[in-house]
Amino acid sequence: MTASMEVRVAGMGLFMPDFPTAADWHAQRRSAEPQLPSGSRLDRRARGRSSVLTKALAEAYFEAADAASVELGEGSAVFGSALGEVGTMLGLLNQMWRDREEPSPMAFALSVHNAASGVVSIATKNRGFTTSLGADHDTPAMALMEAIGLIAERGEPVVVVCGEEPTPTALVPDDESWELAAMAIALAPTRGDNETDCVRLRGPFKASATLVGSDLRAAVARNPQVGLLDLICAVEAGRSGTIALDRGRGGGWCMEVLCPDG
Amino acid sequence: MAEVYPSIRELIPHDGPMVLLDELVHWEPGRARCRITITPGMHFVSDGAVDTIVSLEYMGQAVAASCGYAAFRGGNDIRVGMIIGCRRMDIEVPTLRVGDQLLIEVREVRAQEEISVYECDVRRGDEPVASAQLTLYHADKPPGEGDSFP
Repeated sequence: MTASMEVRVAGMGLFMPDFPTAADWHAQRRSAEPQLPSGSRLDRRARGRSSVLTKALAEAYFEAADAASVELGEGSAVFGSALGEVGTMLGLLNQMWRDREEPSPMAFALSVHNAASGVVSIATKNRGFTTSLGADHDTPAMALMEAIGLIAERGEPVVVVCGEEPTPTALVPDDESWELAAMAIALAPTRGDNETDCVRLRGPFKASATLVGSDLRAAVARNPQVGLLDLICAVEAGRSGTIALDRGRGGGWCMEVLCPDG
Repeated sequence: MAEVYPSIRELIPHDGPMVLLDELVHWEPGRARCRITITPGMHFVSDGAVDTIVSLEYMGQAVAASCGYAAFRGGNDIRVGMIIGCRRMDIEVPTLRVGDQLLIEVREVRAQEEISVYECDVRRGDEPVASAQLTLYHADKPPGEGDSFP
């Protein structure tokens, strides 16, 4: 039922070292130097102990939520990542098994897959629904499916935010590695059957894509979350059609983009 | 003549009832096959059946046996390993029954000192039961400390 349901794009967010916001990406305004996410909207304590991934996801989340005027204390959110806080987890394992030290309870708490959703929901005093998932290269598709299900059930906006920290070198060969990136898209219920003044989405479903993903550097294109960036680029470009959410490396999930003039 | 392998308890760091495999039946560099017969009283068996998700642990122990035999041949100590990732796990049958005899085959995709990746298949006769790609973290077993964390 939810697969054919239409939702409205209410806002977008992004963090990449070269493009710290979706606005920068849209304008192709590259940073003079690669940036690390500041986590500026997190409180000082959370900012100090959060990973690069958590801060990047938070940056993308806040940009999309602000653009959509989502009430931060109440909105729903779906966080997606294939490997999640794997760097923190490997650090803990090294601490236990190589350095023979007691594991840090704080590092343990922030090594779990839902660390970012927990940090963000605490920072925003959010009492809405929040969840985290990981589905390899299908993470964007599964996060969008979860969000659209939530919109169908609750009739409220949902922020989908997916990201990946730079590949741990021990885990992925160099020719498969990727750079830090986090992307977010705020979805909301459509306002009526004839709504034509905004970009709408339908899916996810398995199909052949009619839109081609953006021309990206290999280290960005290999990121398991790149499908969400391709979707954002299609929305920004006002291109109607079907866009792949996995660049051919997942289960073949796509999203239909319906633009006012596309 | 078929190669005679050491007891599974000499090849893997697991102990007591957590040793689920019966034996290593084939080994070559980067590849191993192990056998297990599901018996009453075995860990994870309930009402004569075990959920097939447990085959993830069978796969992990088969990787341990493969690494353990490689260490045995080289005169080295066995190491501990922890499953830190599981990709593309397919479960073909929902449950396994007491009396089922399974073959677990593991094939190294890549391996470093710290991390290895294995393709794993579990079969019941000719019938596929489960498959997955596991990522494992490896470390030396603490001297005289069993399998417990420091």
